[in-house]
Amino acid sequence: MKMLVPVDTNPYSAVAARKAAKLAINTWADVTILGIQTAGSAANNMPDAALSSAMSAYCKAFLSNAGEMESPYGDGEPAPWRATGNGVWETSIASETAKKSLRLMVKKGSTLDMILEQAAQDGSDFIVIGSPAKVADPGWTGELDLTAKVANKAPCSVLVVKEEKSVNTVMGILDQDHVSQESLELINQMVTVHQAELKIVGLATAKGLDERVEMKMGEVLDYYASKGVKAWITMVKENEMEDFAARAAETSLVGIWLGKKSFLAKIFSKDRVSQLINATNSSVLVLK
Amino acid sequence: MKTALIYIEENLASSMALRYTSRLANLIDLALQVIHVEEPENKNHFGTGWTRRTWEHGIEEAGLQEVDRLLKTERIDCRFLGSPVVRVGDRDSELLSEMSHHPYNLYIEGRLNTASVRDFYSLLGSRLYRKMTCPSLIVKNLVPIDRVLLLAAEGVDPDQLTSCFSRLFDPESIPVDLLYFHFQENDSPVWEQEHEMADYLNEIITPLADKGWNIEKKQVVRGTPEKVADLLRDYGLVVSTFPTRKCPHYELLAMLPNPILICK
Repeated sequence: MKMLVPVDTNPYSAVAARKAAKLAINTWADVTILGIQTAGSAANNMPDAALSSAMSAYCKAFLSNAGEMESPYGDGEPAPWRATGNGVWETSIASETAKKSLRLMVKKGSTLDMILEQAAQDGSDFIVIGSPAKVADPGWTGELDLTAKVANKAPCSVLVVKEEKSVNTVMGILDQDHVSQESLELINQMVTVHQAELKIVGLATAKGLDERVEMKMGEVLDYYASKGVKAWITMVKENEMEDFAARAAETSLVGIWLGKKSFLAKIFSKDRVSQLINATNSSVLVLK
Repeated sequence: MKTALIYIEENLASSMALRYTSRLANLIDLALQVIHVEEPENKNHFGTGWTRRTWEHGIEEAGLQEVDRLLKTERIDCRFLGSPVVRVGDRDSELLSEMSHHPYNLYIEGRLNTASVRDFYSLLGSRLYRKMTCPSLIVKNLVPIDRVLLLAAEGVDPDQLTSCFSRLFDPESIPVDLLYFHFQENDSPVWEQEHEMADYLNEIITPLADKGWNIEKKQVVRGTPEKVADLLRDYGLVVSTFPTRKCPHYELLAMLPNPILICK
């Protein structure tokens, strides 16, 4: 698995780095922590000092959260930054014991474009990105609603991390029969990391649950049962879904499968995803 | 041996009901009769006599194939009373007719848990549930049955609850707790002293103790149906009585994600 963790210098990025570490240690992911240096800032030949210093701290926090004994990332210090392209700097953990890569990268450019570009270049399976807990809190510079835009436009699943709080239920909302194996595994990881229960929510039309969705829910239920994960089934009608998801997000980690064929993509239009992300102080998982 | 009529269709709810029943059969000496009802949309358009019988036979055959497919997929380990019964007509009428001819100890069906209490109200408000004389098990989710909760509240008849429960389950076959639910509008549930409801709770505890049951936890909770339902998620089965009117107890039954046994 390849995980991308875009960061800036705000506290939510530290929360995202810690969350990413817990997921990474469970999945043995190759991780890229990506800092974006907006055009015009800092010196030309080195990454911005505040950003690189914050990234070193995130890296340290990542390694300590990944656990020293079983960590696949080793326990060394990041090597000095080196330029690897025009406005691109990289470093990684220099550890002989590392089995998986932990790379730090700074790119200069538009925040959204750089995140999407890096996700495409790496073939990322998963993006973990921090977001201010409240709309009024300081957020990503240069881009309004950045996290919602990343969640909408990224080719892979995205976890928008807000403040750290205990999650006792992970909720996966489903309305289509296309569910990728990666997304099932991600949900499984979320359940494991939070030691939470799983709720599989099917979206029903006025006529009831689509036969294919129902079959897929059954398969998903079997999949988790075989892994010993306790899963609850719930059905929600289209016109109740938005309120349901917003309410649920207060206490659960809400995961929404947003595939191309998804009706949820209509209910949770780009604006709605923004609203869900902005309206709650909980983390939101957009599955693809 | 107890007999149960289980209604199935080829869907997730029935799949869960079958699998849950298979688990239940480890606790209760149970023999199952599978039933399925095909409800034709325009049954008056298909004439009379031979034409109608042929048409009905075709529908029955399709229904039987549906039931067979599900039973083959689930391959549950249960004793069956006979071959699956497939009927054509109104679901409630056909099920009530089957129950009137064969006095089953239990009726079972799967219903997906929904976020809307109205769906549950319309299920329990249906002619089938109003007229049915045996207890009914509504399987909303597939969970392990390692602990049972007897749910009491205002309007719950202790005699009905204890006699129905003890008719189905043998003493000490499973750990049992007892909870009295009070409604309050406040968001956070509050646990109250058991002695507050001692007289009422004893009407449940004593007859069960006489039959060899030991109620492990006896609790009284005050809260909203939504929050209390959330507290009870660990129970593999919640047992209560049929609510006769819309009340907080009814709403709690609707909001519970657990399988529920409704005593009559």
